[in-house]
Amino acid sequence: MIRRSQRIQGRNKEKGGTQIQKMTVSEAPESTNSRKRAREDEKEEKEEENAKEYDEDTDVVVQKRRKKTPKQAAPSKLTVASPSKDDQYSESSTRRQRMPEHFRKVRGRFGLLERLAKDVPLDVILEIFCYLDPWDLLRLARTSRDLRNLLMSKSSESTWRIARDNIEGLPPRPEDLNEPQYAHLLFEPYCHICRHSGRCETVLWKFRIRACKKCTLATFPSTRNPQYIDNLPLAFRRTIILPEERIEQSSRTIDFLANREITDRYKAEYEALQTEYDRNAWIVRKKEANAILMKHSHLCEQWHRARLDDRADELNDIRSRRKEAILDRLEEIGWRDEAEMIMTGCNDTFSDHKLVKQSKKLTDYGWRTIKDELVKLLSAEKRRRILSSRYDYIKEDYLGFRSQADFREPFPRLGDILMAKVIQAVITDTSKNPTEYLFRSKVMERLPGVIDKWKAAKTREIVRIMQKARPTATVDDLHLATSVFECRSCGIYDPMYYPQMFSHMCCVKSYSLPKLMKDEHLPHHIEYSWTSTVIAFSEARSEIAKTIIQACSLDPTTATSVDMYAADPLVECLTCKRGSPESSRFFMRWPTSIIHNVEHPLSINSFSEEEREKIVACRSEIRLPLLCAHCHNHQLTDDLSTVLAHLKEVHSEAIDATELENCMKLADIRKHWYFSPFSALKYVSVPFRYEEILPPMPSDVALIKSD
Amino acid sequence: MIVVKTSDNETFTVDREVVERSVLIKNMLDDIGENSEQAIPLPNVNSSVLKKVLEYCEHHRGEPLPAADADTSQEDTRKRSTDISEWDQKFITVDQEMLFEIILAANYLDIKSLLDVGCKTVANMIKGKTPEEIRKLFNIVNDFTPEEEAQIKKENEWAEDR
Repeated sequence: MIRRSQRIQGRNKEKGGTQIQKMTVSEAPESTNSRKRAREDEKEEKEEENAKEYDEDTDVVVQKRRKKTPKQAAPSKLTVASPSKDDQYSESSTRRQRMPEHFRKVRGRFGLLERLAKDVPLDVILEIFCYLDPWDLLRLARTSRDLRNLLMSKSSESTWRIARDNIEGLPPRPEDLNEPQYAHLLFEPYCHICRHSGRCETVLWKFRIRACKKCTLATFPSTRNPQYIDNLPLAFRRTIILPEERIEQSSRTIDFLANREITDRYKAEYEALQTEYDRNAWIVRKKEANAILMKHSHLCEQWHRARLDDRADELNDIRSRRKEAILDRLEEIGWRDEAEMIMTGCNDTFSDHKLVKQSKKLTDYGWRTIKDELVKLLSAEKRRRILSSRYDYIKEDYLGFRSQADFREPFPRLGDILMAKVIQAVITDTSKNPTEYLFRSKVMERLPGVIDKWKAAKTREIVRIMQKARPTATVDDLHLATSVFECRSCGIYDPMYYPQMFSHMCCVKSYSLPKLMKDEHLPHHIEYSWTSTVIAFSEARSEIAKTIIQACSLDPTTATSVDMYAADPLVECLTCKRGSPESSRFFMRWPTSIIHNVEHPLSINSFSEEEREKIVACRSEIRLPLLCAHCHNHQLTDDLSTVLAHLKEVHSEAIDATELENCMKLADIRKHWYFSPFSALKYVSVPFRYEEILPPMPSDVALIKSD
Repeated sequence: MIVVKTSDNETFTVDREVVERSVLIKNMLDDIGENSEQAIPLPNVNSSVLKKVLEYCEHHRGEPLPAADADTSQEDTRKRSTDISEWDQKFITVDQEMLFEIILAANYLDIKSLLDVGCKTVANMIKGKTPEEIRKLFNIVNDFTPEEEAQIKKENEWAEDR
């Protein structure tokens, strides 16, 4: 390239009196002359203004101008540069608007490069263009008529070629595309069909088009489309001459698409040929062309993928540098540790935050705009973290209490504890940020009171439920064998005794902790609390119990369920007999008889001693679950040896050894165990059948003898 | 030492080695001979710009100059990097007015490396910008109608082929 342009040389001559016509980009024909004059007027004004600032050093000048830039107006998209009408730099301009954000990063004063476009020789302009890439040239060609005329002229082909050569690894330009068309295909990032502004990275290289999936499927038919195939000349079906694009319809379906335009063109060309020889030669040529096209497309796709990968890496790199810069800034204001704590957690909300995960360099201005929001985020996360650890402490302390709880009485769930207002107040009080020890002390101080209060309240609730059927009922009546409750939520109305309802699953409701405590900063835990809404008193079963108690010669107003275990009534259901003549009879032990069908008539303890022995011998050996009255959590069964072994091994210090030595049956050590409330009545015993073996009939004996 | 005179009549006395980075001045010196005490007039360069240009020449003193008959066709096929050395980057960090003046002066004085730095700087300013941003940068009037603007996005043929 000739460095010293004709125009500069001309300018020299101009000084000497000779005038050579200038050639510049903005040198428009007549239509732009008036604009040019106006610009020159404005330029003079600007120069005067600039002269005032030039006395100081350059940096200061730049700084001054930067401060001014946001005030400079961009009146409208199409009137941006109308200097003659709108002097952007004039102090007196009252029509200034806020500078669009994407212009703020431009260095120096805007529009001063106008002189570059107008006064710099064409060869310098072209030299500048050679450092750009084709995508920049394409955009430049869309800025004004002058630039379009310059760049879209074949004379600029070398500029485009040099610009293309600047792109590393780019496959050569195919013959069927000119430079701008190739640039358009390579770089124009939107769908060429719908022109939606969103990025579209699906390039159908063989069809020379970029298209989104929706447009692709709507525009190009499948190569398996019968209508499309029917329209093809036979020769086209036998050889691969038509370009095809592979597309993934879904994760499993892959299809090949055809381009009707190309097909029709090929068809017209083919059918225009007269001789078989010409047609065959044409097919050979097209086949070769298609092979070249496929090869080129493959190269383009490789280049495109690599470019996207590079871009993704570049963006990731910018993002990670931005994150590190943010962390450094946070360190200055004492929030880095909090951010790092979030980053090391399983849910890194900091790195994924919209203000952090930007592929944008962090500037001082940028930091000032995001600082408050990030500090707010970190404050909230800190609060959440504190609350989460507090929740864990409470859970630990609660479990400590629970491990020693006596389950003959109701015991709250963790949710019930967290719902207590005194506990909520301790959890959410982050004003003083006490140490773990202080916080736990506060909780431990309040926990026994909360548990006791809850127990009393819930017991009263159960009494109130019973009082609906027995208005005079008191807390003492809860332990009676006639106090049978049932769950109205279970399909079979599961019967239960007090305090079994406190471990019945239908009485447990789950809820989200933050929602319950109306605190969005709380960790998202699902907790459970107890409710009596599904519990009802069962009058029908209470009546059955009363009948059985009376049959055992006990007083229904005083007999407890424990007494009934001891009485061990034998109950026969007169409905559930089987076989003929009633060879299989249905028997139940306590408390199975309570949960049996209330409609069935029962026979209670109405058997001879001999018959009872035979029946009882048939009952299944189901052990009832017991709990140790000392350690509560140790699961036992109603087997004397097991219970004794546990008591001797674990509680020998608390129990008199002779008491255990002299014990003959479980009832003798009744105070050391109790029936587990965790097992539903239906599981603690099972009914059994007694099949009487009848002596053979006399007629049968006679038959045997005769044989 | 060589004396040069700017458009605003300021004179600079410079080492010949420094000033000869300008092919224009070098050729002039060759023409007028070494012993001439006459100041070389630079009517297209003012003193503030020449000061910057000389700063550049001073820094790059002694570096090999591009061959005068460099093969332009070969030059056109090379990959053009817009990378600018750290010092040059700092040097060219000036306001747009000065940048423009430096480019003009480098072109006039025929200092290829300085012109390259200027061109690269402007290219970097253009890179990645939308047409609207470029218009703003260069104060270019958008003389397309909205319809034409939509149409040109579809038209990528050479003007001669349309």
